[in-house]
Amino acid sequence: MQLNEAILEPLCMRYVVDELPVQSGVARRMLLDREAMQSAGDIESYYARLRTYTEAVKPVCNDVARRNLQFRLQGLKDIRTTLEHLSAGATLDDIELFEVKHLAILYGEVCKQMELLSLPLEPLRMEEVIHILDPDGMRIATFYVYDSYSERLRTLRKQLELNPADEQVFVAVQEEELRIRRELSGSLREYAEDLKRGLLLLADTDILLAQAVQAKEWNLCLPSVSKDGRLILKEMWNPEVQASLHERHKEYQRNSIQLGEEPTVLTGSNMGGKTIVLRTVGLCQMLFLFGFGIPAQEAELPVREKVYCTMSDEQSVTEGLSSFAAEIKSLNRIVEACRRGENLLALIDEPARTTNPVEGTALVSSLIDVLRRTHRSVLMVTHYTIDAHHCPCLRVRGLQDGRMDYSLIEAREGEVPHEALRIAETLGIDAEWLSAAHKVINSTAQ
Amino acid sequence: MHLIDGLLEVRSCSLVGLEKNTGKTVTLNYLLRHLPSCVRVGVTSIGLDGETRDQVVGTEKPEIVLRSGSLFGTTEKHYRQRKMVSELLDVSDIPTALGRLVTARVVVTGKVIIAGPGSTELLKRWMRTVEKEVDLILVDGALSRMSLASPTVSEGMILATGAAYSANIDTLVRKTAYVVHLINLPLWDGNDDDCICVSGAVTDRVLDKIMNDKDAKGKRLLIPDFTKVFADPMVWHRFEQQHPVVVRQRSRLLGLTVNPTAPNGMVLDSDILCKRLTEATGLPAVDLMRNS
Repeated sequence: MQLNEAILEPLCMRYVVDELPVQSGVARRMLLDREAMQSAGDIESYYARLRTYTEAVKPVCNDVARRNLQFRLQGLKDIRTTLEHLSAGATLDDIELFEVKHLAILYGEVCKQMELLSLPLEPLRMEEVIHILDPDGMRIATFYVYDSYSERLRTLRKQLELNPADEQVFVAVQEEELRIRRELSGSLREYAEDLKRGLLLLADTDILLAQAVQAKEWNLCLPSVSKDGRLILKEMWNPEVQASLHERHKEYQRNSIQLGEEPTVLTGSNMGGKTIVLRTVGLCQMLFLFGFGIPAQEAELPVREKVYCTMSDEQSVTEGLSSFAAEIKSLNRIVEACRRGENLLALIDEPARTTNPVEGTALVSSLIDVLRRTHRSVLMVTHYTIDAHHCPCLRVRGLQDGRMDYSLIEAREGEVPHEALRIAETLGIDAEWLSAAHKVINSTAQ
Repeated sequence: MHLIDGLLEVRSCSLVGLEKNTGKTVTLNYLLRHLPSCVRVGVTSIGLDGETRDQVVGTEKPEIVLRSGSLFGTTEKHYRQRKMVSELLDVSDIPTALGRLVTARVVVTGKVIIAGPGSTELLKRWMRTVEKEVDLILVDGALSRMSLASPTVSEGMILATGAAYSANIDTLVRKTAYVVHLINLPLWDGNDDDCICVSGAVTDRVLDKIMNDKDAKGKRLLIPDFTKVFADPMVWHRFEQQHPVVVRQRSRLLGLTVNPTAPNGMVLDSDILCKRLTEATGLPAVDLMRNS
């Protein structure tokens, strides 16, 4: 799974990626093309590298160097095609030679800034490249086929200056320029691999620096890799939801969760933030697979090949399925994937909620039963009262003295909160409707 | 020459043709040739322009001759085709129809086809990056791109008109005078009371509505600048009899150039045309082809 696919999932992943302060277009493209990491070793070493960056951007005294570095990285251009031309033995034109020189100079400048941050970049033969493209030693990132490359060129250009309309001289100048460019390209070919590596390293630096800055500014944590398949998120939050709450001057209440390799059932009153919990767990899992800081105080996450999620209102209009049919089909895909033993995290939001409660309850309890036997990591939100005594059950604490408490607590088996009417009341619904609803409940209770 | 004198007083100037083949490129080359050599010039155009073959009508279009030291912005493709020695200063992320926009400095005088960014926003971005390097930025406009003449883009403007705009001298003079009149609409004095403000397009419908509104009677109309006017000259004329119009921003119209030859080969009398235009607009109109 590539990052550009991951951001399509309903997990608020796009928000985190969009807000990542990547400086260059090429780094952003490379980031979006990245594959999710699939081994504990890869993830551990990626976070170890990210940690050196977060350490480097932490002290306030490094802010200037960091900003200078970011400013330089803005100049990084995607010249992969040019470099392919170079390796393939093509004669580069003025624009391509300019790009090569620009990259070589940029690499040197970035190296200097990185040293100030104690993050040494790999030494590459960029000085040699600059030397070839800067015969006058001016060290500025502009380029043309300089007079100093050949006496003949200098003479021809002097002639041209005297008579700019002389086509013959102009053609001679062009031929000489071409000869020199062919020579330059020949000398540069030897450094093509250094240049390619340089471009890659700069893009990589851009991404790591952006992730480190985001981790610092958002107070994200760097996770550890779970070895036993257990997922632990302490005081997690959802950055997108938090940002929109802050806009309305509201506070986000963080919560903690643990999941094992078994289904976990999450219940709770309406408006209790269950779906947010589901999305945030999925978000953290995804961010982990792509090496981002995790929005939690502490995080321990397992490697997963895939994150499945079914979210409310999954309606497949194009396929002509009703919301129920679309949902059941996507639930079935999860069941099949669990049966196949895929290493996955599945997030299921209120399955079968659009059908009648009798059959809905039957579908959900049986689903939990089936999934339990596959020993896969599943988090499921439901409103139905189901028999789930073999699985861990959590619930949102819910209304406390008229205020919603979003923290998660262990729920007693089969306990489903009955707070819908109280919440409806706080929403100010019609009094007659409300009292009629209370009457119905009282009569069924008797 | 009054065109050059006027140019020396502004930091940027756009060339706007009322129609294709009204001689913008001739005007641009004329200016580039006659500006004092101490003036550092930066040149670009908006959208596709300056092709060797005119893509709409198919007539020959001259390339632009730039002196050494001048800066220019053009597409990658046209940069590769240049007939000059120049130093590449920047390859930007600004996209054009023919590759990225590049900026270069002329080392040895020569010819190049200029085709710049496709929108005024991108054009302004380019202008900001080079303004410190040059004394004057000239922007070649594209086919009836009046938005480019907006005072938000350039300080001054030069208007190119000619037989391509209309083959009938009377019509040509009348239509050109109308545009000149709009460009020269008086600046708003800052006195807000009793102005009707319109910030978007000023169309016939908008004008009719104001004219039919009893409460608006005799009130002034305030618009951002002349490029917002899309009204029929007759309606506009009738409107102005009842409501004075003022603009928030105005570009300086530095001059009027005339190309008496239409792409279909028809030629108007240059002397009569220039004289009539000068009378009708109060601006000296010149036929640069003949004068140079």
